[in-house]
Amino acid sequence: MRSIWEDYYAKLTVFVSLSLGRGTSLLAEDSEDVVQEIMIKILSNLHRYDRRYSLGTWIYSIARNHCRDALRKQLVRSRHMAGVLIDDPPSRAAGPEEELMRKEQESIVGRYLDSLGDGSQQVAFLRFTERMSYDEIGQVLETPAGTVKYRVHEIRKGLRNALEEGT
Amino acid sequence: MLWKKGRRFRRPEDEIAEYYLSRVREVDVPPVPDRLLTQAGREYERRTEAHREDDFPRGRHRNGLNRVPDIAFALFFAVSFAVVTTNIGRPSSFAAHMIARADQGRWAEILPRALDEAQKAVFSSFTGG
Repeated sequence: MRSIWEDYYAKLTVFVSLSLGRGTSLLAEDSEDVVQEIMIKILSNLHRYDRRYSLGTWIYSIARNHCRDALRKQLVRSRHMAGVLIDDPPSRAAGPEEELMRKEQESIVGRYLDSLGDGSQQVAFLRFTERMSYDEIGQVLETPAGTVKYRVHEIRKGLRNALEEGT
Repeated sequence: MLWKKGRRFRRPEDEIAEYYLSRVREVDVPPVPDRLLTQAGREYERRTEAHREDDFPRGRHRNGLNRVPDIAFALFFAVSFAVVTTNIGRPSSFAAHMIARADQGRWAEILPRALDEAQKAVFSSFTGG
């Protein structure tokens, strides 16, 4: 259990930030809470893990579903608060993680990835960082493997162009 | 490797992997809360124990669809066996051999032999051999 925490906490933090997306009004502390909730869910449900499938697929599926629920709850909350949170984010103090993100977005790769839709960012993360197969990514994102393959192709092609143009 | 105006880039996939890995490395991983370990550990033990006591096998046989390959193989084996016994007329040694391996779950050994024997049987039934 300890090794799962150590192996996946940081990776899930990045995956959650991609899943929650730029348009969300969830604060950095909320994201941290979401990651911790996901880890608790994973550790408490280890007995349900089917060993025929990869552990990563199972973990990221839970994370993806949890993020979807968090976004749904946040949407309901923001409606109740009449857009207060949505209008406020620019005024909040930038945390160290956000500072780092801003610096990285200045790079070509960062800018390019940031320009992608949230679904494509998740695909890029799972494919190139977690080395998952198209089928596994499809299971996590509940998307056909063919669609995943096409997105991967487009991401690769787009970044190649961006690198060549130096934009 | 891509080159542009003296600048060198790695493959796009390596650039992406490196970008996300650098973000992963920047995350401070807090120590796992002991309370969570205890709670999750207890829950895990309790559920595992509950599964052990459960008569119905979990996992592989929980979903009926998972059994399709087993059923298909059993059918295939039964048909092969029938063909062999009816056409060749020498069921004893081969059948005993196959059944012994089936009992031990050594399907990888049975499949090629069964295919081979079934092929021979069909061929001999046509040629009258």
